[in-house]
Amino acid sequence: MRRAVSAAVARLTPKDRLRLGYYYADDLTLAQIGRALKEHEATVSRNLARARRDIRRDVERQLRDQEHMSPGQIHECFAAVVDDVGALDVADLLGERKDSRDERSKERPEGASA
Amino acid sequence: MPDHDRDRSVENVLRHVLSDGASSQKQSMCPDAETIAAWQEGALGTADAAAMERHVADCSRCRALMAAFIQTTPATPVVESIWRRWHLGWAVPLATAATAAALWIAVPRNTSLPTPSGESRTVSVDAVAPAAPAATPPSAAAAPPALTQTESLQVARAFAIREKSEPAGEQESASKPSEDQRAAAAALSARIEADKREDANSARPQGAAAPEAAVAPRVATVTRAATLREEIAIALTEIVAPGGTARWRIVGGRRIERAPGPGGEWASALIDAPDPLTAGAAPSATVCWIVGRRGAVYVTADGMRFVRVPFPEMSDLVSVTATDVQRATVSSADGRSWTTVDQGRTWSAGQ
Repeated sequence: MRRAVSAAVARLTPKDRLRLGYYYADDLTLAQIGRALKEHEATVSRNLARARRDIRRDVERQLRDQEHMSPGQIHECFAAVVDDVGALDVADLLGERKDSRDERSKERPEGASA
Repeated sequence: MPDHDRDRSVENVLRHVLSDGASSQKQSMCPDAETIAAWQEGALGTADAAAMERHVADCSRCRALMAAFIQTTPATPVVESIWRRWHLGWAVPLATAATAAALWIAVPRNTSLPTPSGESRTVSVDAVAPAAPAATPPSAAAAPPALTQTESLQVARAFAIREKSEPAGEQESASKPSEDQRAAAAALSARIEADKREDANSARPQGAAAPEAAVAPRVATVTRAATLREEIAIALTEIVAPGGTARWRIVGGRRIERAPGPGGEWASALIDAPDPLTAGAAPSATVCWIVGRRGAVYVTADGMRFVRVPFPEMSDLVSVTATDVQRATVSSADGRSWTTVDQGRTWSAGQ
């Protein structure tokens, strides 16, 4: 799953990767990303949602076409990381990261899951 | 599984994948500080800017650097003059041309006007033109001047040099700003002092008649620079254990990273810090004390997991020295200090 997401991210444009990195890794707010990229906050939100959707579709395609997974197996792959990426995920162990995620839930990108 | 649940799965993996992006880029490939600063200010050409964007998008180190910049730079909404908006840009030359044409039509080049005394005098268009008031965009005078590019470069250089330098052999247990941090702070201090002197000089000849509004933008700049300096200092704070056996750094004011000795890779430590962190001290390779605003005190005994230490005051703490995991002395911004010998269970003031 992680390899598939990495491959999907690599296929995005540099600006999309930068936007995702600022948001998911560096915990910048939509307003801060907008300031950095000279974009309106709403544009940042829309582009983040689009990039995430593109990644999901790309991952689904990879699992289906390259890994030859059935719809049920693909479902299990996504379900396995819906709450926990795994033991290697140090980030999820960080309380501060969860807190900041909670704080920023009010300004999630459009279409983001609850 | 609905799409939004799958998006949530993607988000979880993304956080992991994007945080680990540093290994994909070699540090030697990272652009220099001048290029980073120029890119941030939009001063690069299209091709160079695109190359920078590609690099920063894939280098978590440079991206984190930029993120720290963004986080420590206060949001200043740009009030754009209405005349400078692209869709009204044509109006300025058009209005000028219309005014010139109207004057040319209304006022003949050489007109003899009767004077009360019966004599005639000549009025030319050249004499009329200067009487028109000069149009000044209202925002031009009101907007406080931003930091110059040179200052931005100095700050950027401080970030970049600090990242490249290896503090091998440092023996200090208490955190203190590096040479580069001091250079950045000194540059900003120099700017603040220069601004103050300029304010004093500009106010002197005008005396009491000098309008307060003219000084206000300078004051705003000085305040902003001071805030920026403080926040950059927070963003850059690095704590080195004796012998350089371990390093911790405060990232973005609220996160802590640890590297095992010189050249070791930085890894996020576990800390729950709602208030900005300001300083730290590391008496050994596994023990580190961190302080912050509003009485925030943390300590770790294993190097990675910080626990909050009870502290009796809500003071903004700015420095700490420590001898072991039990004993530390913290100081506040107003000069007070407190000491504990039992890992914060009790504190004694002024020792």
